[in-house]
Amino acid sequence: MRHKTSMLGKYGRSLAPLALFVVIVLLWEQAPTVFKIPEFVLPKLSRVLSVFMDARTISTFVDNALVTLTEALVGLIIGGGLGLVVGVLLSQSSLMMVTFYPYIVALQCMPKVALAPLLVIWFGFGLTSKILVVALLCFFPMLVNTITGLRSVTRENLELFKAIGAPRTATLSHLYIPAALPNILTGLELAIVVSLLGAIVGEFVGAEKGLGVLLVQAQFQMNIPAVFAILLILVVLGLLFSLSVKYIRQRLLFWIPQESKSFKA
Amino acid sequence: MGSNSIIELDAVVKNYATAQGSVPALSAVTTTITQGDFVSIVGPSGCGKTTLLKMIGGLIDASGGKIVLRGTQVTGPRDDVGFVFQGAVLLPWKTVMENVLLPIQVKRRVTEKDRARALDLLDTLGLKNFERRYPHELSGGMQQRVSICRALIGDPSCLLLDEPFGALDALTREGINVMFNQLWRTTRKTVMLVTHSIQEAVFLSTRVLVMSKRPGEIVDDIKIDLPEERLPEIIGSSEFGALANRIRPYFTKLAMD
Repeated sequence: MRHKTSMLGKYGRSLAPLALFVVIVLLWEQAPTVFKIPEFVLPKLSRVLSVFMDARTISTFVDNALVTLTEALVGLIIGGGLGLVVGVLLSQSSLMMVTFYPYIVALQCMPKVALAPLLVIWFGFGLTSKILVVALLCFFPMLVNTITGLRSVTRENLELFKAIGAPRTATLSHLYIPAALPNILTGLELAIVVSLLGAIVGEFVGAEKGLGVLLVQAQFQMNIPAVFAILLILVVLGLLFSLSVKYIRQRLLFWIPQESKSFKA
Repeated sequence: MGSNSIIELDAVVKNYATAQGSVPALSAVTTTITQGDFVSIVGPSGCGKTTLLKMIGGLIDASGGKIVLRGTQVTGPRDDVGFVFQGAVLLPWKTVMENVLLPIQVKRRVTEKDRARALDLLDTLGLKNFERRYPHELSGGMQQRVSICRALIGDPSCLLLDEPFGALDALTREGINVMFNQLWRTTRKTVMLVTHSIQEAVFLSTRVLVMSKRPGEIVDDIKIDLPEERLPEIIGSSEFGALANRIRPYFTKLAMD
């Protein structure tokens, strides 16, 4: 009996989100007509999807999405990479740690996107300013999580590496980095979310191309179906980003037993 | 001191600095360990036996006295010593094979010969065909045996074990003890074992050092005159019982103090 209910539960579990999806789609399609919501507030889903029916619009979307993607990914690699490297360097020297850490914490508390206007003035309307906004946003979650991860190395493990006479570099590559990997990947997960955010906000402030620019243009033209269409693209991009980190996580952290793997940030 | 002595302890002292000042953990331990001996150190919790073992292994510094291993003073961890910790301390992201080879891997390129030796050791400790597994797939007893292989991979002349079987259930422990006795007889390594178990100490050793409670010092030095091959039956013998009974009063007395 118990077995049967749990089977049903499992079945229901995978069906429930699908059912909700259908409900949302139907509501979105019907609500504007039923409740007489004007198009500039909430266009029907079919109206939003019809935006994608035009070949020229699609190529504009693709063009601009590629710009936003480039900004997000390059910024993520630079900012995240720096966060990782600086985290490792700081953890290697307690003097560096006590010197820099207070400032890092202080900077982290500040809303980094507020720097976007300044960065646009300094680096112009091209890719650079947006990449820097993204890098700035991605740097901190990677740095903080890398440091947390490196600190999670146990005393027993350090004693083992001392006993086998491991040189510093080997201790780093065989102990610290793998031990910190769960946290580093959590940092990456957080960084990847803010990377798109940074690119879009940067584009709002000042840019020639990008989904953020399209969004503002559509808003000015009161082309609300286009606004929703761009938002849909962003949802898909965000999902792809976070799914790819999940995939990397599963590949790299195979050694963590399943139950404890889901400690999400 | 005899020419076949391998470890010489000369008035070894350890003090720990605390907020209340310096606290002695070990007071003037002096003894000589003969090559090929199996020496167990027993004593109440906190008597400094683990501290003593870690000082011999070069993991912590002595506050005073001298520790000489194979003719040279111990100043840090050395390749001629293998250390087995209380927990198995295996790296969960490495396979059994990679864990065993770790002491080599951190220093130089692993060769085919190293791999063959690792497989050989795993085979000896009953872990044949487990080399590709990960630690979380193994039982506690198996994990500890992997860590013994890791301590032996560099072919040290001396093996130091810090309560390695303490966390295992009685049956697993007995099985490992029989296996470990066999390993000692075939490899002839000098072994020092810290243990809480009087039975384990008598079963495995050729010599048992009994330590007093903190600050620890050696209060008895017992030769275990049993045949080298130790099988579980020996535990019921009168000689075994007599030896265990000689050690036990120290524990009861120390516990009463």
